Amino acid sequence: MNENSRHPVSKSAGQQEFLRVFLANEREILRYVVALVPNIGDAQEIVQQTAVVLWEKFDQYDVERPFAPWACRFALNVTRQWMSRQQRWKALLDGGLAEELAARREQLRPEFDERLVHLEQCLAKLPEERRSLVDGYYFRQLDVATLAERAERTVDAIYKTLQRVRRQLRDCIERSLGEELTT
Amino acid sequence: MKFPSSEFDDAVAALCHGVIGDDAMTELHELLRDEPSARDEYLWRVEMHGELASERLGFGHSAAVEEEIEKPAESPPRRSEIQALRLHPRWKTAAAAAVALFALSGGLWMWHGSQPSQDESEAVARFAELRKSRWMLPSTQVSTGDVILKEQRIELSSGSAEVEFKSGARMTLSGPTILEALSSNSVFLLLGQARLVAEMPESKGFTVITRNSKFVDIGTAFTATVAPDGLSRLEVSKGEVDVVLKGIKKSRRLKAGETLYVEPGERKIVTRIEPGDGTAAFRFPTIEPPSHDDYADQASGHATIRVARGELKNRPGASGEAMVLLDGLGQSRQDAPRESAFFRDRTEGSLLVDLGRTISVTRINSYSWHQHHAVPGHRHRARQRFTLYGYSGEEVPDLTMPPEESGWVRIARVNTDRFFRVNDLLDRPSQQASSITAARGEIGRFRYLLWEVKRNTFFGEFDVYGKSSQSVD
Repeated sequence: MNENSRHPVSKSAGQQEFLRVFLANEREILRYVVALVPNIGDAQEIVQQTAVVLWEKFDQYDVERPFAPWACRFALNVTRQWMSRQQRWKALLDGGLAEELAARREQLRPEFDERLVHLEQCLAKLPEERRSLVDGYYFRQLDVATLAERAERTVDAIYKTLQRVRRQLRDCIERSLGEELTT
Repeated sequence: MKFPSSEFDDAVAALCHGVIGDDAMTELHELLRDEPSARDEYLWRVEMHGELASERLGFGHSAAVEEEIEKPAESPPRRSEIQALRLHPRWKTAAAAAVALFALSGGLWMWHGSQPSQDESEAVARFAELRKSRWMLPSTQVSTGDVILKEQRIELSSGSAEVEFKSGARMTLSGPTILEALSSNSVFLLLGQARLVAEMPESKGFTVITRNSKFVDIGTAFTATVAPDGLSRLEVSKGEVDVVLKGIKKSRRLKAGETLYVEPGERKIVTRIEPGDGTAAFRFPTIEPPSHDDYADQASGHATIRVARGELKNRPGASGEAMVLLDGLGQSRQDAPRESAFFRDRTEGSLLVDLGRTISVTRINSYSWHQHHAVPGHRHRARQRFTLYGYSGEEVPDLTMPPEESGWVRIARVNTDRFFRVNDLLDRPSQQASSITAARGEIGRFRYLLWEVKRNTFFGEFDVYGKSSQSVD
C-alpha cells in the first residue's frame, strides 16, 4: 500500500472519515452478512462488531481502493467467529460453505442488482395490508408479536404472511424482468 | 430436504425470521452444500430479504426509530421524506453517500424519490451561536441566524455550535458531531455530543434519538453522546430524562446526576457508574454494596479467578491474591493493598473468572476503593478502566491473542475517569462502582468472564449475578 494514501493519524479527522465511509457502505456490509446469517438481528450484531474491527484497522485501509470489499473481508472473519460460537451455525463453517456462499453471491450480484431494480414497483403493487406488514417488520423493526397483536392474528400467521409477501415480490420481480425482455 | 420443496421454502423463511429449528437448519445446510441450484435460490431469497432489511440502515433508521416509538401502526414512515433527508442539497456529504449507495445498489435508491422542499416554513431551528465551527464539507457556509430545516443534517467537524429550536430548546453541539433535525422538538444524533437545555414549557418532551436509544427530556438539561461504533451515553445534569431502548417498551427514568451507557447491539447492554460514600459499607446511590449472594462468590464454590495476563504487584505494598475479588467484601479501609487486587505499577493485565459452567449472566458489578491516607488527591487507583468480555465455550480461548480475535464477546467498556470528567485529582471519587446489566433479561450466557484492565486499579470485589441452566448450549 502506498503510505501516502493512508489516512491521517488525527483521531478526530480519522473518526470523521471512518464514519463517512462506513455509513456510505454500511448497507452493503449488512447485505453481505445477511447472505450468510439471514436473521437481521444477528446480522446487525455482526455488523456492529465488524464496525469496531474496521475502526481499529482503519489506518490500514487504502483510500484508493473501494471500502466495501475491504470491509467485507473483515465482516466475513467476524461472521466466522460469530458462527464458531454458535453450535448450530458451526456446520456452515465446515468444509468452507460460508466462504462458498460469499463467493457465489459475488458472482450473482450483477444479476441480483438487476432484479432488485424492480423491487420498488413490486412493493407498490402489494395490497395495503401486506405493504403495511412490510413497513412494520422491515422498516419500523417491530417485533412479530407486536405485529400479530396489532393485526389480531397469531405470530405464526404473521411469519407465514411475511413468507408469502416475499414470494409475491419475487414473482413480481420475475414478471417485470420478463416484460423487460419482451419490450 | 429436497429442492425445490415446501420444506426448503419454510426453512429459508424461518432462517430469515430467526426461528428455524436445529434439525431444519442442519438439513438446509446439507442441501446448500450439495445442491448448487438450491444455493443460488437461497442466495437470491436472502438477498431480497437483506435489501428490504437494509433500508432501515441506509436511510430509514432515524425515521424508523421515531415512527416505532412515537406513532401508531396506521401511519407508516413516508420514505420520500426519509430520502429527502439524504439528498438535501445543502449537505452534500449525505448526498455523496446516497450517490455511492445508488451505484452499489443498482439504482434502487430511485424508489425513494423526491427532493425536499426549500420552504422556510419548514424551519425547525436556527444557529444561535457558532464558536470556531468547522464543517465536514469545507464548502459549507453557515452563519449565526441561519435556519435549519426539518430533516436537515448538521455535520460539525470541530468547534461548537449552539442551535435554538422553535420549541425554545437550546442545544450545544461539540464537534465532531453529526445530527439530523427531525422536528422543532426532536433530533437524531448519529455521532458526537449534544447538550440540551429545555426550560420552556413547549420544549418539554424534547427527544434525542440515537441508533439504540431514545432520550426524552422531562426536566431541563442533559447531554447525549454517541461514539463512532454506536456506544450511546446519557448524562442528566438537571431534572429527569426517560430512556427508551429500541425494541423495549418499558422506559427507565434517570435523575439529575445519573449517567447511563448503552452499548450497541441486540442485547442493549447498559452500564451504570456511581461514586460511593467512602466507607467500608460501600454505599452507592443505586448500586448495591459488594455481596456474598452473587453466583461468583467464593462461598458458593461455583467460580474461580486468576490473572490471565500481566502480574499483580508483589512489592512493596503488595496486592492481595486475585481471589479477594470474589470474597463478598470490598476493602475495609481506603488504602488496603492486601484486600485489593491490582497490577504492577504502570502495567496492565487481565483477570479471568471461570464460573464453572455456562450460566445466564444478568448483572456484573465491579468495585474499587483507593485514597492515600495522607494525600487526598492521590486516588488514581480508584479509577476503573476496563473492557469486559464473555465466552460460553468449555475451553477458555487462547489468552495470548486479542480477545476479539479469539472468540470472546465484548460485553461492555468502562472508563470511570471519563464518566466523572476528571480534570483535577479531586474530581475522581475514591470509591467507585460500575454495574453492567442488559436492558432486558440476561447480558448473555457465559462460562468465562475476562476483565481487560487498563490501569492498576485497586479492585475490591467483582460480583456476578445469574443462574445456571441445564439447557444452555
